Amino acid sequence: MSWKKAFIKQAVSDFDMWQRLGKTPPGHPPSADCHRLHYLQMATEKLSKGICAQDSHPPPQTHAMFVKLLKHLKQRPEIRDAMGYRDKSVQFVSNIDSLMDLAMKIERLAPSLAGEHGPNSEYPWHDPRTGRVIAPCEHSFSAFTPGNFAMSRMLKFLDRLFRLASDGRIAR
Amino acid sequence: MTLNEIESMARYLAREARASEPGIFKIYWFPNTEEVRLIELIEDVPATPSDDPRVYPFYFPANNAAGLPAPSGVALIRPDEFGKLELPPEWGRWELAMEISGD
Repeated sequence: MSWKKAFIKQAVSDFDMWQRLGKTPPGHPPSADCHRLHYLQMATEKLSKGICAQDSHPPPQTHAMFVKLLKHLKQRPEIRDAMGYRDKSVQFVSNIDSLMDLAMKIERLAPSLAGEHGPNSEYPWHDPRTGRVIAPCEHSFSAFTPGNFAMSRMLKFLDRLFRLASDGRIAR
Repeated sequence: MTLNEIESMARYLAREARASEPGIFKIYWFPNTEEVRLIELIEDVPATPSDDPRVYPFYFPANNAAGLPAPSGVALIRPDEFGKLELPPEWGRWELAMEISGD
């Protein structure tokens, strides 16, 4: 398998895990938000890297790829058409622009981008305002709750994007 | 494909880029007859990590229905990174870059 296909395949699988963790079986407590968000961050990063990868060369190591990908996707006529925005380029660009703040937050869920004091989905951090050390599994990641308007738009967008990836319409 | 056909698609993508992203400072085209190769200079993107100073384009397949008859690779970098990062080997040298307006 090529590097490109492998990264996109893994991204689709990570996104599937994000969706599965949101469906709690009856009688079971929901999983902590951090676990779902960890998969969401990884899915978006790996999809971005998969689009960057060449068949015989791996993509960059950096975690900061998703925001760059969205900036590029809004320029792509074929993605615009495939996502249901044919002849609606202004709306397509505006939709992606409205997702950028949240995209940055998703990107910064990676510990190396969150910084020493920033919330991330994997490792405890020190909050300088309260002096407390916080475990991700006890943190409420309020920007990412499904009821949040921006988050619901983001998920709708990602659902379509990952469907394209899953159908092999992104990798060449 | 002919270089003219590739250039035509490069200009189309450049137009789409400028229309959707006002922060683009300049767009450069690396002529090639197999794929469209573009580098966009834009302030508002994360800096390329200093421990891996390479250009990493996003690669997309051809899509005739969308007016994109050739595959393409498009990279977004900061203006101050132009000429300093390592290009994908098959893209050649920075001196081959031609500014393209998309007008």
